[in-house]
Amino acid sequence: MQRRKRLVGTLWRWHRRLGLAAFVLLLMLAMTGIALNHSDRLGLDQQVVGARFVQKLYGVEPVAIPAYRLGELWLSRAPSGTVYLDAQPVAPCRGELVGAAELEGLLYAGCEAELLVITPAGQLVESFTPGTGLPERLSAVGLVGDSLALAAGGQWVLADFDRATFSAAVEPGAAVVQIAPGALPEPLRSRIPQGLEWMTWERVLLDIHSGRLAGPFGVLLVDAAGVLLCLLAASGVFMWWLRRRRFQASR
Amino acid sequence: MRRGVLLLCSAVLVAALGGRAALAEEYLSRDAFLASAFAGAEPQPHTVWLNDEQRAAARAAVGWVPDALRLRYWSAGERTAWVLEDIGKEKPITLGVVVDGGAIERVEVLAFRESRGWEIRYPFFTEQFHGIRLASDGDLSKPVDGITGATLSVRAVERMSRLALWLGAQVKG
Repeated sequence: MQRRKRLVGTLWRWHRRLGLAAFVLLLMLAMTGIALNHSDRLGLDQQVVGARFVQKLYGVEPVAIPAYRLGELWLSRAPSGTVYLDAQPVAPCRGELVGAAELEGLLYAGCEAELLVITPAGQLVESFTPGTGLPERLSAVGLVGDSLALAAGGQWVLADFDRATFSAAVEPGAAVVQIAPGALPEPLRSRIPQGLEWMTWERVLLDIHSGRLAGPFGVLLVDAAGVLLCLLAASGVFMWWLRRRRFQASR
Repeated sequence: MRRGVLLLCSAVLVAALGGRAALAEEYLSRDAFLASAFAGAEPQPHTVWLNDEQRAAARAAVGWVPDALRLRYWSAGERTAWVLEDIGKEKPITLGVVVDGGAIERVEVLAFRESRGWEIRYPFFTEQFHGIRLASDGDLSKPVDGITGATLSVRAVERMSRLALWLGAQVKG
């Protein structure tokens, strides 16, 4: 009898200690787990993390933002993948920004897998992708006379916006006028979010949930939380079973 | 024994083909889609501009409108073909929709870039859209059976189909 009492007492003590030790970790696991379950509805898979201290945790240094000057305006692509006209977001653009041009009152932003047509007010007129006729892997944008020219696969082709085709090759020897990339002025750069395309809140929460944000030690800590949870469950069930047995014996 | 080996080989083959399908990006080019949609006819390219008012009307009618001010379509007679793009979960799906007389004649997934949900490209899914019209509440006139594990891709196809029907009515109505 005394032995069983001592066992129950020891179990209770350890159950409490394990519960206290696991409390913070389980709270963190539960909260991040619930948020991850609803990440698409909460938009966490789309929201890019701009906080510098989080980027530092990932060892990410500020990256250079490629930019092109079109008259008085600057066209750039933020690390999040969105094209900006000065400090105004225009639209996401697939791949790195490889060139820009201005033609007949419209601006053209060429990314590796998308061409954006933009008004000088920063409104998206149209977007072309390889799925809608654009050549694969753009590498440069330029002007040949009054036509927009795109470089892809080692050759220049002309854009025909009436027919939405990009197949007529630029005549050999024709001069292609290109705008050289420049450094985005600091006042504009400071107004463009620095969050990286892949670093969404979903990714960060996933790494907190698995412990990977704190490196190998974090993973072991989450492993330990899993073991603690198992011990809590086992000690709880064992104490319930002991109490039930005593109750049945007393009847 | 031989039956077991055959089953194993079939499973490996199915897994390999499935893997290829899941990794594939472009199934059909825009030009190939237009050529098969307008076999024997030369479709004329057109553009439709959506001002703020029309964008609001499209959003109210079908619940979604792309960011661009100008959309492109091809037509021959009463038939219009639309090549639209929308995000499934994270990456865009390119869809070709042919509208004839206010009803969908054909839906084709031209490119799929997500890691899951590529089953929407198969005829067992796309053929459900044939003959569907836009109901007065902006929804499709017939329910479309979803695919387990491809909910967001299915929703994207439904959104783009609704928009193609609405746009078809605007340009041919």
